[in-house]
Amino acid sequence: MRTNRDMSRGRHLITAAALLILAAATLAAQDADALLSEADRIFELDGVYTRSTLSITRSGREQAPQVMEGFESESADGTARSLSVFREPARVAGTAYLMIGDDLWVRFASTGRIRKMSSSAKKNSAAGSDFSYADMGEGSDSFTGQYDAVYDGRERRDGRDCHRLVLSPAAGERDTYEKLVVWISVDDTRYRAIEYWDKGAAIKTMTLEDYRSVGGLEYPFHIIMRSLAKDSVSVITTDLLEPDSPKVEERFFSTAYLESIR
Amino acid sequence: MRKPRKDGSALSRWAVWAGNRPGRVVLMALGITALLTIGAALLEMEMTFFSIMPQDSSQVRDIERITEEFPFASSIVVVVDGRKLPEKEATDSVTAVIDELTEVLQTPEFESAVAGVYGRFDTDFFAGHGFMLADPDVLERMNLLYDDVDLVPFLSSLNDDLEREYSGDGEAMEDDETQLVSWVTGIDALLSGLAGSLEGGAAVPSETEAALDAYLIGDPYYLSRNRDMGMMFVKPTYTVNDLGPLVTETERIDEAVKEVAASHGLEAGLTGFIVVGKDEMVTSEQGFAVSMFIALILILVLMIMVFRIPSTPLIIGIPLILGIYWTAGMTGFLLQRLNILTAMYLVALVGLGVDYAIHLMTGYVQERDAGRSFDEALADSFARSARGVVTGALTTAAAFYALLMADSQVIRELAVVAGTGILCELAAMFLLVPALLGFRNRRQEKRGRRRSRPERKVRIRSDFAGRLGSVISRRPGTFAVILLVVGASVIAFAPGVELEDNLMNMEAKGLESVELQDTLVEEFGAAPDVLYLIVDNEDLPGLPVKVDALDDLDSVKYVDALTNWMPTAGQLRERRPLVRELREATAPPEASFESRTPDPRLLLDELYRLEANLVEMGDLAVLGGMDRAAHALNRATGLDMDGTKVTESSFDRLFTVLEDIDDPEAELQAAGAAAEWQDVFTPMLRSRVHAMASTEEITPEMLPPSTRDTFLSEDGLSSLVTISPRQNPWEGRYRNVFTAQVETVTDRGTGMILAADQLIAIATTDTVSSLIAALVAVFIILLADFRNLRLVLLTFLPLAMAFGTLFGIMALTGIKFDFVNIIAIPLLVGIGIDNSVHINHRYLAEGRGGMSRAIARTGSAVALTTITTMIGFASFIPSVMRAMRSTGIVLTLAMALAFIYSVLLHPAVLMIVSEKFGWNLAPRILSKEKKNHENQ
Repeated sequence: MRTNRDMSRGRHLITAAALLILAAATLAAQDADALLSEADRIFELDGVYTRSTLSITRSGREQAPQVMEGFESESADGTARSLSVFREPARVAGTAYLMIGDDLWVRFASTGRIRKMSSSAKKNSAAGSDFSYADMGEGSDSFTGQYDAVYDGRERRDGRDCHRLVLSPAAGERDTYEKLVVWISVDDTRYRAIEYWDKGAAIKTMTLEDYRSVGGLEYPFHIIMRSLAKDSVSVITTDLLEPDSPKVEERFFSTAYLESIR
Repeated sequence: MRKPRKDGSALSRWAVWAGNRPGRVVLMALGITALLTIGAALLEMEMTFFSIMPQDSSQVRDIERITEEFPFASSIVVVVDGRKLPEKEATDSVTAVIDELTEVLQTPEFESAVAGVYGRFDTDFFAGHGFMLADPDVLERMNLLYDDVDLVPFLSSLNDDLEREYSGDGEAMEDDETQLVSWVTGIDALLSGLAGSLEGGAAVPSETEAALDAYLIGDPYYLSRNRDMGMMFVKPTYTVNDLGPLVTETERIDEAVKEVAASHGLEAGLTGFIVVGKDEMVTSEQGFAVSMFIALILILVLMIMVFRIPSTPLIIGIPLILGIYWTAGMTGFLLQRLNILTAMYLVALVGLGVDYAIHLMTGYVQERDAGRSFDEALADSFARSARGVVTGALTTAAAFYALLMADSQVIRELAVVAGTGILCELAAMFLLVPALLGFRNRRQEKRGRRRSRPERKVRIRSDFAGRLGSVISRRPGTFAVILLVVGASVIAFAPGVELEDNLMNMEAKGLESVELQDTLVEEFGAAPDVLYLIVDNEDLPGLPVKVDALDDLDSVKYVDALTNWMPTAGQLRERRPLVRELREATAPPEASFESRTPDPRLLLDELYRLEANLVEMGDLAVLGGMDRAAHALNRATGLDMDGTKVTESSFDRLFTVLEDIDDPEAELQAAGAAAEWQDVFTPMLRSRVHAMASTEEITPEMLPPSTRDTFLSEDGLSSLVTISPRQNPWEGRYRNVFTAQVETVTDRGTGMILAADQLIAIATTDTVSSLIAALVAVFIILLADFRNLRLVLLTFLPLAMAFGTLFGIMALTGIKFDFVNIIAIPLLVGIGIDNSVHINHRYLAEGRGGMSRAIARTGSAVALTTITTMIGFASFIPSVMRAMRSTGIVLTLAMALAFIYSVLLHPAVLMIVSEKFGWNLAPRILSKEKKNHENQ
């Protein structure tokens, strides 16, 4: 027969175990947040000017490469802003996308007209690529604010030892993916791969390669977005990246400037 | 001279009796054969992958239901290929072939094969009900667009519509590319007509009518993105389960299709579930025939070479073939069918069954070699070999029958055929080999060769085995270490072995029906294998929401359902007021109504806007890699892919006229010409939109036959939803995304791709459990045989090493497991362990220090039986069916590895543990007896 003392000891054990589990869970969460925060440092670059090439291969057929200039800068109130201007192919040279927070405009070089895009457009495929407008334009947005991270163990990815984190949308965040799974390399805490989940399945995977030191931070110069829902892969190769670039001017982030682009 | 053994068992007495009364034995065999012919007659060859799918699974039951109730779902897809011709010529030729085939396949000649042919959309249905099929947001736009269909107001509304809030969704544009091309072609044709009028020509009503058809309804043919291929559907009178017509009628349709296409200089082929099934049947049966022929010839040639008796093909071949026939007969009684796996096993049985003949013949020949009489040779050879042969066969059969514990029917069927096959071969050999030897002996006696000495010619060389035995005996440690190290280093790669998850990669390479599936994805953006959802009529009201949710999935290309064609009551309530509004706005005007004369300046402004809109769409099409849309838009705007003006467009012709207006007279003239064209265009557009805006409720009877057959069950009580994948769903990684996303909307999705997934999953898990069952069965038999646990465990070592090495080699060479070859793996337990068992027996008989002799005496026979088994399996390798080929490679490799480890590693390990570590490997009872003897 169990005595009160036995039962009391049992309760203490259960409480201690619960506290231990809670502490372990808290530590894991802290680890995940810390890892995400450290990996997110690539987004700390501001006033960034880039020149990059987007290559799309669909059903094994490579399309004409798209050369773009990118200008990114946060506004004084922290709103993410970006301007992407196509330089090639010739057909769209001068065509530009302007993104300010959730607002998106496109200016067609061929007609000189500016079109406001619908609020849902950010998640749509940009220019037929596997990147959404949000993927391409929100380079200055870190994941830390938008998602809550849970540590999901370690595994090897592309020959590297990586932390695996599962990110779910933070409360109140809209226009996010249903879930992200990110792999952060153990040795240097860099994003190595990100799996984008939507409606029950991973729909595309981003692989970040060729990290180079820029402005004291490491930045991936080769980003591959592979669709898992269709036979398509898009690759952005950054040819030039200048943080705090004088080429990034405040006036770029307005529709008025869009009209003047040639 | 030795005397015949008096310990001769019933088997040796039987052998002597049979050898002396061969006629009676042959009669007995004929009797058995006649009986089993009844069973063979019951046998059906079901050589489709579908036939081995788990028939009790919900997926397969659903497919059966779809096949029976929605015959259009398993219709034959005819693909007409005009890619070798220039685009315009290709489109005309392809549509001509489709029209001709539609007629040909509906003639009485094809009455027995074809229940319906669908080569074009029913455009009349759209012309009568088109707007009732549109969602409310589209209808709201349409109301704005067709509020005023005079030329300038219409163009103004069209531009407003194109410039409405822009989603910039390249993917959505891509999905609608075919419609977009048709729409642009229609607009371009309308502008060309208008330009002609402004340039002084007369409006041509037929051209305006054709342009409006393209603009409002689209192309009636199922054409590829580049319009150089076409697709049509043939509803057969039979299903994939009707095996007779499946082959003959499908081939007849195929011949007709190819003939008509060739007469137009085109190529054509068939695909679809039913055609792939037919091709599986044909290629499998051809493959089995070729494999059986190769295996028989090679084995009989080998037997002649080994025994050097010209009549060997008869003495061994007749019981061998009869054993297979009996197995087929027994299978007919027990299962009534052969599937791909069991048919493959029947071929492999050639290599397994011959082993018994080898043992019996070798014994007989050796006895005759020793100068024994016919009776003595038979009696002694059976006394020496028969028990071992029977024990070996029963062990193998037991291991095979252990697979009956599997959950899946396909493995249980394999267990029945494999186990029964071994027993039938054993029976045929025991029955007929002595009898046929008896015939041979009588014939020789008649020729006066009473003391035939075939042994002089037939000595089986064992020099190499002897040398090998002595090498292993001298250095067992070296052999063991080298083999274990090499084996372990290959086994280290074993976890990398992959499972083939693409069923199409298991079909015959170069099979037209399989290759066309990829063509459909590449050229039409549509995969023939879709997911289905069966919806009962009472659930129809909730279906539109589900359809929208499915349509919204990234991995889904499009969803089609009855409710897309026959709106529900809820959809009618939402749409009818908007459609009515549209109908009223486009009602025929009163007789007194006069259209407004277009203002040339306003017309010019709207044309500028329209050109800009089309140029911007062209920019997006070029960026998105939508060549066909870009081409159509460029043609309408006169640009090339770089955006440079290269040709004069209809816009340019219109601008030339309208921009040159510099006086009132010219303006009046232009307005008059535009009004003249408008007089043709506006009433035509109005009447078409009015007709499309019927508010009448659509009933099943109003549906086009192809739509009704596709979506409505034959009893009218349920309907089918088709969920088309964005990629070829047989590609495993994509399939996981597709099915996982569909499952977020419904857990009732079904289709061949899910059934195949289920088959792969069951095959994998069942193989593991079958493997364990086979191992346990063999373990028990070996324990009963050897009565020594250590020896039994050691006997499994070569098998384990062979399995591990096999998996490692597969991983290194990229050979994948598939659901055919993986199911055969448990069979290897029963077959692969034989060699080690023979060596065990011989080593125990020879005693410590006798391994060299044991190998010398068993090595050749073991090698011979392994070679024949390998021939049986390797005969699958030349097959065009990739599943058969991979099975042949895997099993042949497995047998070779089992042989190497049994002959090289196993003796070395036995020597080390027995002669260096002092393990007692003798049977336990014997050990006790020996111990008692020693104690005494």
